[in-house]
Amino acid sequence: MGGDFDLSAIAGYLGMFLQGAGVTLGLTAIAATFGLLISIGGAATARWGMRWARALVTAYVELIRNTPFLVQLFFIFFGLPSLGLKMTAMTAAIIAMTINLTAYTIEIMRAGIESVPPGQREAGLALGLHPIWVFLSVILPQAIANVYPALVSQIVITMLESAVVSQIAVMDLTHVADLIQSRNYRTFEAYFVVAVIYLAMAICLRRLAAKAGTRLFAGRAR
Amino acid sequence: MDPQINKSAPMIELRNVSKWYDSFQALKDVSLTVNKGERVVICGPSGSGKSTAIRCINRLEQHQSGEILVEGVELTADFKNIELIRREVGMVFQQFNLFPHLTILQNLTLAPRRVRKMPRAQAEELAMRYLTRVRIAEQAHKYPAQLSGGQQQRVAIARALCMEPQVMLFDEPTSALDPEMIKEVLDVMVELAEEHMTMICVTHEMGFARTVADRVVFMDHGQVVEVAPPAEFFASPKNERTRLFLGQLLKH
Amino acid sequence: MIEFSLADILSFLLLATRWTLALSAIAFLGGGIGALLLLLLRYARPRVGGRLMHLYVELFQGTPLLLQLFLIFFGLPKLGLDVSPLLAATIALTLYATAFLAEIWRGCVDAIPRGQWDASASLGMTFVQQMRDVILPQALKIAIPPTVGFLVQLVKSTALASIVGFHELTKAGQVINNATFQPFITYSIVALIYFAICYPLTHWSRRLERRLSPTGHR
Repeated sequence: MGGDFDLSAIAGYLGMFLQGAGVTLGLTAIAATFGLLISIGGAATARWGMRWARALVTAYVELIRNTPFLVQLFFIFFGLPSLGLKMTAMTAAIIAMTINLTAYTIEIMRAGIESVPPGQREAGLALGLHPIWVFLSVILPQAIANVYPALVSQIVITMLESAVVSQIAVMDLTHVADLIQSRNYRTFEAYFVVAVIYLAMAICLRRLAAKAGTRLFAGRAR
Repeated sequence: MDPQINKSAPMIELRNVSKWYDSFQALKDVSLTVNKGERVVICGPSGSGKSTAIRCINRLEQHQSGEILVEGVELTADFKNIELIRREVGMVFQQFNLFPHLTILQNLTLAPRRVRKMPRAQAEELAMRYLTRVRIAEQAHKYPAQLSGGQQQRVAIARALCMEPQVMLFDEPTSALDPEMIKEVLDVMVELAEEHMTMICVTHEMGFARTVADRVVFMDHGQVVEVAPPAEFFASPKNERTRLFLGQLLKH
Repeated sequence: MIEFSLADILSFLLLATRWTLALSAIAFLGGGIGALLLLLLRYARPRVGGRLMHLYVELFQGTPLLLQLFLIFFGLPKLGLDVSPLLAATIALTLYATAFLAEIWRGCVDAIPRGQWDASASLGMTFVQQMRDVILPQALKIAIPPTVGFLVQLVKSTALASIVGFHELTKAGQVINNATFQPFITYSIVALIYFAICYPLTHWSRRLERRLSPTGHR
């Protein structure tokens, strides 16, 4: 082989890797929390909202799903400040990730809501429950259970896509690799280690979520 | 409820109710009065509008003309009004419609806690009382999917009873059940009838109609064709369509 | 200082869009071929091929595309191979597309009921005949909508090539932005161009899917 592959040159930066991984996971957690909450409202609007509100949700979903995340990030971080909306790179990353994830989770959530048989809603209404309670305590839990795997994979995808926030100098896992390679010129090794960490995080997240899922939704298989 | 209401006061009144799905008329001028404590069975061929009629009573479907009164209160589009009426009207569905993500006990306590604002302990006590009545108390902590169809339907009846409704609507409660499970559900319904619960049952169980109904209603093509006490209804149906229907039922 | 008109910006971006389209097309073709090879291996040698494909997909769907791109861009020179940004992006996107297309198409083949294999086997068909005459014609039909859907994902993914310096649409946006200092306008136009490419594909994919669903609607 022409080049050498020397991981020992990287070993001293363990703390930085962990810190970067923490930032990546933190960003993902925040985006996932906001994203899921917003998409519940978005999906309900898409399903039962007024005509103009439905059109608004559709426009948002289509616009985001049909443009690259990197461009959305640049638009928010570089474009919005020129309108007077200044923000830190971290804030821009959180906003971009949330906006991006939400466009996908709205569609997933909507499919989940549609998968709940209409009889469930009728039974809730017939018991005298307020439609909001019917949605929150009858339809939503079933909808989420039905699309839980899809939601989890979308969150994992968001975590992996978040690597590009390093391009606006957010100190995430990928940026840590950028920094390290600029210090010791072990470019390949730095990115290799980071890629392995992403892989481990993705696998762990899927496993943990699957385990949590079986516990959360135990016993109710139809 | 209101102590002024006397025993024979109409509990539910349908006055010239009509309903259309686009151009198809599902109900044509349906009029029917059900008194307090009365047990009415509605039968008729599929597509006759019998399910639609009772689903209009708790406004799962909206009628377009005519009036529906529950305890003298007219059903309007006003939301509060619909909610108040739904609290007094219990419903049991063909497909049970239990909430699969909740345990049996939670299925029963959901509405009392949310709607009646009942404390949890009290709601659970109430639920256990009704589960005992439908002889299924030992299943309280299971999920619906772990129960047989007959058991699920008994739970559904108990769930509706937990709201202590004035009227119970049954929408083909035994049609989705395997034959060997029909009896356990009918037994519960007969007991309920014997306690003089006001009941409107859409069903093809003519044996049930014969034993418990005060009146039998036959519907066809969205119209009420014939109303009579069971003895008369089965022995000497007046209308040709009723005779045809009963004849077909007996052949099976 | 040179003034740029909107028309200048637009034509500059549209010229770079050709590279976005070209890169998407090459990666899609390459990915398609790669996916077919993986699948062939999987169905012909289920034990080895199945495991290999699983590993491959897990690796490429479990790591960021950006890092796959970096590893190729910085890794190949270590092996003594000089790679241009275009070549690195082409290789990375092809490998990436291979993983996704293989996974999508495997799902489609597996969606064909077991009975179809049994029936064709009982008629004395060989594996190749079963695939060619019975399984693939059915699988192909259900494979088209998600494949078109992935094409949208691939077009969007080409934006990452800008990070290693390949002059496609997003890179052109950055260049223009550095010259005009009008990030709002520039990135709006860049986003709209991507939208103009992707939305028709999304729409088409959805229509195909709707036509396939037995109820006629979603």
